[in-house]
Order: sequence, then structure tokens, then C-alpha cells
Amino acid sequence: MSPESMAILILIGSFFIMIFLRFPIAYAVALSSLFTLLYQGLPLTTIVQQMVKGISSFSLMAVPFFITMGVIMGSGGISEKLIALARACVGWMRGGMAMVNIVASYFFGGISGSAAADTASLGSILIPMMVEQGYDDDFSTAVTITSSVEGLLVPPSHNMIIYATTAGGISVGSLFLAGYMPAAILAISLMIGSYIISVKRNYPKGEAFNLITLFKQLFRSFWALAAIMIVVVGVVGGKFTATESAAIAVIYSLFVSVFIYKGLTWKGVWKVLEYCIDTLSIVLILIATSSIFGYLLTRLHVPALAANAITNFTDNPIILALLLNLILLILGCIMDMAPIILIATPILLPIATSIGIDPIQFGIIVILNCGIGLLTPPVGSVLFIGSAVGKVKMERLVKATLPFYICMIITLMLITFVPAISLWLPSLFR
Amino acid sequence: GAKTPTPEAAPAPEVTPAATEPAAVEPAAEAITFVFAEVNPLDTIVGQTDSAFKEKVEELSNGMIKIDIQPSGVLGSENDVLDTMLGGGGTIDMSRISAFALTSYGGEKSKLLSIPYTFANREHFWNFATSDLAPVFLLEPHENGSGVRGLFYGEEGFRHFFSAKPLNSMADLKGLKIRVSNDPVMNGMVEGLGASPTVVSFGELYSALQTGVVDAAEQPIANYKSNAFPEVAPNMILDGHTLGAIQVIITDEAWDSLTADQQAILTEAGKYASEFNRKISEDAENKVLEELKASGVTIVDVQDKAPWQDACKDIIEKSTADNAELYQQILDMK
Amino acid sequence: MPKIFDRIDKIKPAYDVAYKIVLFLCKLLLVVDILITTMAVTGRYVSFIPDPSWSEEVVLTCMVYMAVLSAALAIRKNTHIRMTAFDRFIPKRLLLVSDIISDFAVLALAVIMIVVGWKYAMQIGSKGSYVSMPSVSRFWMYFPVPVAGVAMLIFEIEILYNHIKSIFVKEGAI
Ligand code: NA
Ligand code: NA
Repeated sequence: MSPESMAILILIGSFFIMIFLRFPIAYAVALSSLFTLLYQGLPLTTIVQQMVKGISSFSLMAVPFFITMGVIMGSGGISEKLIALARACVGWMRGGMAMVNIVASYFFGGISGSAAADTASLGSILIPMMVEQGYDDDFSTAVTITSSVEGLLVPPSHNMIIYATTAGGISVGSLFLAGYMPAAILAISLMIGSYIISVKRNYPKGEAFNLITLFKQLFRSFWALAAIMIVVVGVVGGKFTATESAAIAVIYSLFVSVFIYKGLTWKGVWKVLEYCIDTLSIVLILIATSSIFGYLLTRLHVPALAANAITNFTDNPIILALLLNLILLILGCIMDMAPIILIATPILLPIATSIGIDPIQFGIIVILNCGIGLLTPPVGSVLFIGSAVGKVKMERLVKATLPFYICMIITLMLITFVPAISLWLPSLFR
Repeated sequence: GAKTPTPEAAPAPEVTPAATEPAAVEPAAEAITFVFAEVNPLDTIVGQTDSAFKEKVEELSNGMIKIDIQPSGVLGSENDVLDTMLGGGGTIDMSRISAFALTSYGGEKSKLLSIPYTFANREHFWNFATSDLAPVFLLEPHENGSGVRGLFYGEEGFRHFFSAKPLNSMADLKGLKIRVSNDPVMNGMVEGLGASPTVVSFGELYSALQTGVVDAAEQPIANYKSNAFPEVAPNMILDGHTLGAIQVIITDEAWDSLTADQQAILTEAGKYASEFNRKISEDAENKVLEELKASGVTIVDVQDKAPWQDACKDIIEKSTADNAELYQQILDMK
Repeated sequence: MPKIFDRIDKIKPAYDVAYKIVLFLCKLLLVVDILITTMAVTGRYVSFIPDPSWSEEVVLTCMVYMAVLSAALAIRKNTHIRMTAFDRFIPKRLLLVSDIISDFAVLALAVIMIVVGWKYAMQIGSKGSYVSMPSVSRFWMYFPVPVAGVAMLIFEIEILYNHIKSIFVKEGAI
């Protein structure tokens, strides 16, 4: 065995052993990296450097900001109004709140482009709302994290830009257009899945739909809805970026909570910040330490080794297409999205095009695979954020997400084998 | 995860299957492998320069020195890479960086290369890069104790402004919100031109240009195209405020581990790669320029750069005050 | 034996204070981050509000401090994500052993973060500065790691102590 393979074995092997020994995942990731560095005789300063680098990403700032917004909305009376409004809209439908969650992510995806930001923002508002209405917390969180993947497919999407520039010669505009339909299909499959579960678990169905009640609640929640409008208009209208919108949303919800709904005093605000820190204390360190792990996987050429493994395996296009997905899914389980796109695209795209997959369609395939990877253990940032925001233990959350993984895999297969889903919309604008 | 915001973390077009080929081949008994970080993909001007260097080193050393290029910024942004190399190295031995990246690591000399409107044209830069002054500049980070040394210089073309709004003259920049990297010289330049420097991370730049959070930004032509900015900001003015001077650096630790002969091989390969870079960069840039024009991008040439230079006088003087004599020497190489 | 524990237990209020201080710092860092970001956005449209070029780097550094410091809080609260799926099939004694192993490992990691982190912060700090603020040393960018190492060490010692105590003191007495 070459020293490189040995290092990979130590890295991944010791990580899994420590997880089964019930180490906190955040520290198991750091320790397995530590062992690997020691084995390779490399300086331990890498740990320090990569931890800091892992959190030093401006778009990641949206996560703490949106979590803060959610906590303030929840304690300051804004969420209450939104709950009443949602009940008036979809209360008559079994699993209606799950549908709201799924549709909301589609539209929010048009702003943030980040599944982490989506889970942090919508999750911290919608999960408590759903639990309040009688949904199980694990189901609510599972719906939230899986639907957040829509945000990666609905433009604008930062990861699509990374793919377009790595794949070369692809118009970001076309790739953006290509994302709408796959995201819609993902949403529909998740809706079907959650409807079935809602019926099975007998989730609440409220009073019959009443237009007058709806208007009443719409009127009452004016200030709450304005929070959403400010984010949408500000970002779409070019006043601030998606990340900045998160900070603006915090300030706005503070203003409404303290001065208009008066659900919070300044002292109360300072107090509820503790809930934000509780959530962040779990999430951010995981992102920091996973960055060391990802750095070592990259430096050891793991994505390239995995991708090259399939090149000479078969020339059956269907099996190759499945293998492409499999490789991306496996990488997604242990690595973050951006490095996978950067490293695997140049290797996998030629294989994809050789079996007739269009580069734009392949982009959608890559994004969805990496998106699923964000929700899978042992390393999945959105899974961690969901677990922290929804206060659901990771393995309970994974279990509740199982049916949704199936929905996502079905969507993935449709996108892989039906090119028109991705290519029809861009073809109209050519 | 998002890419760290550097204007240079610029992925580029065309697929290169060889891009991330792993070091699957078993190295010979005593072969040395150096990990080489590159923020751009291999098919960019700088990526090709790296590859030329790698091939020359491996050829001259008969495969006894191997260069493991890790492109596309997978090992981090330029500052991440420099933090790794300067803070005890080990995981990265070599890197291609933009010359001004050393400014925030005490690179007083390298800073001079990024002063706006210093180099009148490419010729001027190459006069400097092949002069006796160049080795002095390259050795600065070694002399000042940073623990790395430069091997050779190259360039990735001039940087220009581009916008969603028409840019026909310097006056059109007035009042625009322009995204530049957060270093003080660039901010001073934008202020000098009557615009306001705006902080937006590189990862959010495409969307920011599209929605209008910023009106304009600046990049070398190749990066402008490869990041799809023409789609959202199809007006470019060729003011060429700075030349993207690049250099390849190696840690002192890696350098000292080599014999004198091996060091000579790196120097020799550096010379070759530098010439290679000079040969391809102008052609590559012109080719991209033609493609941009053909695809409908409005490109305005600047005949007289004197008014631009004049507008930025303050920041130029302020940033060169400590090394006025040395700066004059560079200017005189025109 | 329990008498020793009684005496050591008197230190608990000090731990409560330490926890409160770290929590206060984390809240403060979060608030500073929100305010700076809002200021930078507002500054683009309102001329008398500054839109400084250092905002991005400062915001990120604050977030790093918050991230690693708050992680130490999660040690004390025992809220870090871990695999507990099989806990109910494993005998209690064995669980305790596995807890002690993992806590010692985290303790070792904390020591490494202090030693290596301090060395690294000093080294890079003597060589580099923030890009947007040439007068501020890069030391502050990496200083959070040793600081967090200290906080982790403090809270981890308490956890380990509680584990050891639970070996000697009969269950239910804790
Ligand atoms: Na999106
Ligand atoms: Na959702």
C-alpha cells in the first residue's frame, strides 16, 4: 500500500472509529485529520489554519444572521402572525405546512442560492411553527432540510457559477434557466412524499378554508410579511446581496418585535440571543473542523482517485450514468460542495459528454448530487444546521429523512435520464 | 461552502481532463514531490505557465523532482495559501501568486508592482522582469524573513473596469459603486477616479452585478470572460490600471532541501516558464478580446492614460513614498 | 472519597461565571457582526454612514471568535452532535468508558489547539497583516484558536471530573 493510500485509510478509518466511539463529530473530524498529519509528518499548524479558513467565508455569515432573525421573530410575535396566516391559507389541507415549507424554499432559493442559508432562515421560522401545529419535529426538520436543496437549483445559485466556470464555455445564464424545472420536479416529489407521510401519521387538518379569515390574517400579519418583502425587494432590486439581506432582516425583525408588536424588550432581545448562540455553538465548529478534513481529502487527491476509478470500468452508457451519480453521492457524504465541483467536474464532464449528457444537464446533475450530499451523514453541513435549528438528534433526523432521500433519488434519476427537464427551458431562449 | 473572495480565484473555460490527474504513478526511490497551489484552472494563462514550469523541471531533473499542481483554488485562496506557506509550510511547497499578494506580508517592493498606471505597456513590464532589479524583488520575502522566495515573474494581462452601464470615458465611472478587492491601494484608486469602492465578496459578484448592488468591477480580460461577467456587465473600458504581475514562490524549507544542482534546475525551468508566459499571454489576451467583441461586448479603448494617472496621483504618491527612488527606477524602464 | 468531591464541588460557581463570560462574549460578537454588516450596506446609500473596506475582514474574524468560543460552551452543555443511536444497546459502564476516552481525546485536542495555535498565530502574526488594514497583525485572525483551546480545556476538565466522580459516587447521588 502506498503511503498516500495509507494516509487516506487513516483519515477516513479513524474518523469512523471515533464516530462509533461516540466522539462529538466536530472533534472526531479534527482528530482524524490530526492523526493523518502526524502519519504524513506534516505540521499540525494545518489544523489551525484550516479551522479559521473554514469559517472565514462571507456567504456563511448568512447562517448566524438568519438563525438570529428566526429566534427574534419567534420570541417577538412575528412568527405567531405568520402561523395564523399559514393556518388560514393551508390549514384545510393535510400536511399543508409541509407544502408551505417546500414551496417557500423554491421562492427563497431565488434569493439565497444556499441550502445552508435556507435551512437557517426558513427552518428557524417554520420548524417551530410546524411543531406548534402538531407536526413531529423530526418530520418538520426533514422537510426543511430536503426542500432547502431546491435553493441550489433555483437561480441565482453561487454553486452553478462555480460549475459553469469550471466546466468552461457554459453560459451561466443558460445554466440558471436550466435549474427552474428540476427544482420544481424536486419540489413536487417532496410534496408527494410529505403528503403520503402526513396522511400516514395523521397530521392535523384544521377548519375549512375561509376567505374572510384569510384576509383578516393577511391584514394582521402586514408587518411580518413586510420582513419577507424587504428581503425579496432588497435582493432582487439590487440594494444588497443575499448575505447582507440576512443582517438587514435581523435589524428589521428587531424593530418590529420591539416597537410594533412589542413582544420583546431590549433586555429580552439580549436574553434570547442565548438561543442563537446555543444553535451556532453546534453548527459553526463543525464547519470549521470539516474544513481540515476536506483539505486533507483534497490534498490526497481523493476526489480524483474516486472519479478515475470509474473511467475504465464499463462503456455501457446507462451504467456509466449511474456510476457518475454514485461517485458524486459518495464524495458528497464526506466533502463539501464547492471542492467537489472544482475537482470532479474536469474529470467527470468528459465522461458525461461521451455518453451524450449535455454539459448544462450535467451541471444540474452535479448540483443535485452535491445537494443530497449536504444532507447525508457523517459530514453534511445542512444536516448539522437542521439538527441544531430543529433540536432533533442527528440519527433521528436521518431516519426521518429516509423517505425524502428516496424522493430526491427519484428526481435525480429523472434528471439524469430525461435531458429535456434541464434543457427545454434554456432551449427556448437560445 | 463558498470560494474565498479573491479577485484572482478565477476559474476559467474549457475542460482539461488532465487538470487534476492524481499522483497515481509510483515515484522513483528518492524522487522529491512538491505540492504546488494554483488558484486558477490549468487552462488559463497562469495555469499553462505552471504546467510549462512543471514539465521543464521534471524533464531537466529526469523525473527526480516532481511538481504536484493542485489547481482551481482547491487548496484555498492566495491568502490561505500564503498563510500556509509562511506559517510553517509543509502541506504546500510552491505556489503561483499575484505579486501584490505579498503586500500584506511586508512586501514593500512587491507593492510597487500593483500601483495603478505604473506600467505603460507589456514591454515596460518585461523590461523590469528581465532586469537586474527583478531578482532583488523576487528575493524580498526571503530577505525579510517571510520564509519564501520568488523564482520568476510573469503576467496575466492588464486589469480593466467593466460595468452594466456604458463606459465610454473616465467620466462615466464617476459616482459608480465599483467592487475592488479590499486592499487600500485599489480603494484609493477608485476614490481617485470619483467612484465609491464597495465591499462585495468575489463569490457574490456575479449576482451583485446582475441586480445592481454594484455598478462595476475590475479584472484581467481572461478572468472577466471565464467568470461569465460579460453576461451581466457587457461594457468594458481598457484603462489597464494595473498589470497582473504574477510570480511563482517556493518555501525556504523546500528550497534548502535541494542540492545546488537541483536549485539550478528550478532556476532554469523558471526562466523557461517566464519566457513561455511572455510568449502566450499577449496572444491569449488578444484572442479573448476578439471573442468578446464578437459576442457583443462593448469594448472601449483608452488612447491617453495621462488623465487617469493624474486622477490617482494622491494614492500613487502615498503608496510609493517610502520607496520613491526604487519606484522611479521602475518607471524609467519604459 | 465523597468528601474530596464535596470540596472540589465548591469550584462549580467559578465555572458558572466562566460560562457566563464566554456566553457574553459570543453574544457581543454576534451583535457586532450584525451591526457592521448593516452599517456597510447602509453606508452605500447614506453618505454620512461609513462603508469601510475593512468590514468584510472584521466581520469574518468576529465570526471565527464566536464559532470557536461557543463550541466550548457546547462542551459544557453536552450538546455537540454525536452518534448516540446505539446507546440503548450498550451497558452503562461501557458508555462511561467511551465517554471518558472521547473526553480525554478532546482534552488533548484542546492542548494542541493552545500550543500549536499560539505558535502559529505568533509566527504568521509577525509576518502578515490584514489586507484591508495594513497596521493590524494577522495574529488576531488566528488567535481565536488558542483562546478557544483554553476555553475547551477549562470546560472539558469539569466534564471529565464529573465522569470520574460518577465512578466513585453511587448513582443517583449526582
Ligand atoms: Na438560488
Ligand atoms: Na424549506
